[in-house]
Amino acid sequence: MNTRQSVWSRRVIILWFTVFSIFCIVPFVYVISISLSEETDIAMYGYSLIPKSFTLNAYEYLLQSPKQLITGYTVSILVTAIGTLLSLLLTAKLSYALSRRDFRGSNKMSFYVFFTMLFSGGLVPWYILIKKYLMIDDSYLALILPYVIMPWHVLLMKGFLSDIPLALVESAKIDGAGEWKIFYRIILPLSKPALATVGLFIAFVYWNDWWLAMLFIDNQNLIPLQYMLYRIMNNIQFLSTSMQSANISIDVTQMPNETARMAIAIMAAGPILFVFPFFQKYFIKGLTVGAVKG
Amino acid sequence: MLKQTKKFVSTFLTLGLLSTTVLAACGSGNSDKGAASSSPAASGAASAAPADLKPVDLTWYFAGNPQADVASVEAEMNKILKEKLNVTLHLKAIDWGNFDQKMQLVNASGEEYDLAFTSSWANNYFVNVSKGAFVPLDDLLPQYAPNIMSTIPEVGWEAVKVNGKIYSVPNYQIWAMTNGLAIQKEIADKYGFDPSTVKKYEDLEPLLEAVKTNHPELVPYENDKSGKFGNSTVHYGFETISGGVGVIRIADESLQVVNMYETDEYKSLLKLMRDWYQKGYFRKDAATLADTSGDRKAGKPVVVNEGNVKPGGEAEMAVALGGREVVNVKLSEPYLLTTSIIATLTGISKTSKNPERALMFLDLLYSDKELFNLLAHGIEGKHYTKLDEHTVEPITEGGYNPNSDWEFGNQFNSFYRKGQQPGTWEETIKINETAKASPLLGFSFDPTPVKTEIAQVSTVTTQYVPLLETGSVDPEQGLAEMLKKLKAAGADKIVAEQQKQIDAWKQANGK
Repeated sequence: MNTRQSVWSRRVIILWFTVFSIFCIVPFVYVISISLSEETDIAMYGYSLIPKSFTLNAYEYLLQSPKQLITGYTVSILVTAIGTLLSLLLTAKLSYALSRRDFRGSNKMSFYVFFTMLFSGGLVPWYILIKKYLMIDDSYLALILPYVIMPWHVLLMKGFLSDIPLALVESAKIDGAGEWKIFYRIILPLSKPALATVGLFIAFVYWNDWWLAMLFIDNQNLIPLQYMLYRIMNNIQFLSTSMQSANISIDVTQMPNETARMAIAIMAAGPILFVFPFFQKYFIKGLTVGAVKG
Repeated sequence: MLKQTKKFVSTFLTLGLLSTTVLAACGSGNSDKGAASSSPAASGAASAAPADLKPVDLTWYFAGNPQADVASVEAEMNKILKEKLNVTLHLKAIDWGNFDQKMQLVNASGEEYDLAFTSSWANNYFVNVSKGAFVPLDDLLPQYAPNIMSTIPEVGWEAVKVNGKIYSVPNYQIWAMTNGLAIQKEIADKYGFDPSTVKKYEDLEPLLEAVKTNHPELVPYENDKSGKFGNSTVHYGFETISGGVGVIRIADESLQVVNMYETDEYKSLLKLMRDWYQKGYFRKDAATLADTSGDRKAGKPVVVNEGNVKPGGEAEMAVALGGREVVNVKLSEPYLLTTSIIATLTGISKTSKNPERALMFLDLLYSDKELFNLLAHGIEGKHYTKLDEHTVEPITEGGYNPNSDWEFGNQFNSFYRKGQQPGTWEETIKINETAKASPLLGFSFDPTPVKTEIAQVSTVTTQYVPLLETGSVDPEQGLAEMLKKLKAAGADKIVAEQQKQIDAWKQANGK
């Protein structure tokens, strides 16, 4: 009886996740298919899951003037790599300090971090701070610095680090290790799953970001990939909705057509797809971070 | 005491300058004389040797796809500017989609800049003026901008006035609004359809019918989620008032504001659209369709409802339709509307340290063809090739082709692009000068008292307009439903406020 029930429940679970996966995968397949279709086919017959006539035109079009694409990739990869490393290190340090029960200010500081999650100075003061006082607009720093410490990541990390027994730290102290050594030699290796998980989150934040670039970057050589993509989509949308009956004409034919847009989307999503399996090993363990453990 | 004297003196000076403005502008009717009469004040500024002018940097924010090789254009322009005005210009192009947001931040943070593109549809002019982002130009114009004053007709200044003051320089391009259609010539010819017979939308039916039966691969009439009533208001004899809902009838001297969704004209358009939808003259998904550029490139739409038909428009539409020839049909007289004039403006920022120099630069851009064409087309041989004396063709991958001449001052200084007929500019100027001016010209609606209602109304219209104007739902029921919701959202209050402000304006201006 037990077995029969579990067979049924398993079937339901499998079915549920199959359907769910299909919902996730189909749009993506569409994007791939469109990027490999002839533009005229799309105009004539609409979208289809399998391209009516297979062509690499869109990709050729993109690679014809690859300069922008290469710049985009370089900026995105640099920002993601440096940003993730820096952010992960600082997040780990901060949350380690907060997680130490023998640190007196821990609660107050945790609240201070938490507080920024709920309230912020607002967009304009932030913009003024970065542009007028820090004067880091139009530089890599503007793309990296604002996301270095994100309270959500700190709290997530703290949840994990709190589970490391204080006794471990004490015994290391007795063996003569200093605070730095304890952190680098004992705490960090022990928290690999958390580092991987939070690291992945951080990498996503940096990779997917176009907001900072929109606000602070004017130099065309510092435009990340996502912003490039966002800009194309956004421009087309804006022009097709706001230009109505305005007394002007903007030549939209200059903009990339639909297949090219999809090809750019594929190119932009690509690298992060390869990063994911690399982290997966730690990811499952990391997901239980902060959960009650038996 | 001292303060009062100061105030008195400044008022006196302002008044003096204002009257100069009026005089100079009056003169511009017969433009030659205007230029001559306004020049004494001006020649001082224009002929001043650059040595007398201290070097300044000017920053100009405008919308457009950032160009790869803007640096070399900037350098070339600065060579001219340095020599003539001792100015170093920085061009800051923000792409269309982000322009609004970016400019809001720039203004809110008090960032220093000098010039900005502003209009009714991007970086909204009235919002900027109400926030005090721009410098009033009444005093500066006669002194520093003789060329602009002699170029821009009086109606242009009327249109940009807010509470009687000028806060921006209108860009000189097509101002008149003529509703109309573009019809694919080849297909019309094939079915013996004479476009010149079209006087109203219903007259299109024989053509649409023929296309529908013989060309399943084509779209007889282009329609999308923005609906096409906005492109037909002048045809129906309406002028829309910013803030939405309210319109006046152009022929109505009493300037009575009515809710456009309640008019018979609107209802009759919806009925027609419903009929056409059921006959399959649109794409089935018109109600959700946002971007028609793909269809156009494939040459699918046979009839396109253009908001404005203008000289040279046929060539532009032909390019958009992948090189298919089109014929324009006018469905209204050309009208000068506030909205059609304020579609392209240039404002000078409150944060500018040298507003008079910014204006001098703008003035030079209005008169110096070389400077203008550098900005509009780039460098010859690098970004474009000259086909003949007046016509250019952009070089692909040249790295500079903003293709938005109308954004930079006086478009009529521009070279023609390949495909544009020489003479287009003269023809356009003629239309601008002969078009009938709307009775509402110069009125600007201040939306602040009914802000909430406007937001609520726009929620309703974004829901219903795409469905109704593409004929996707039955207008009998759908329109009644929308009107009910519009009432609940406060449409009447908006109309009343618009009427109130128009009446006040009418009285103040003695109309």
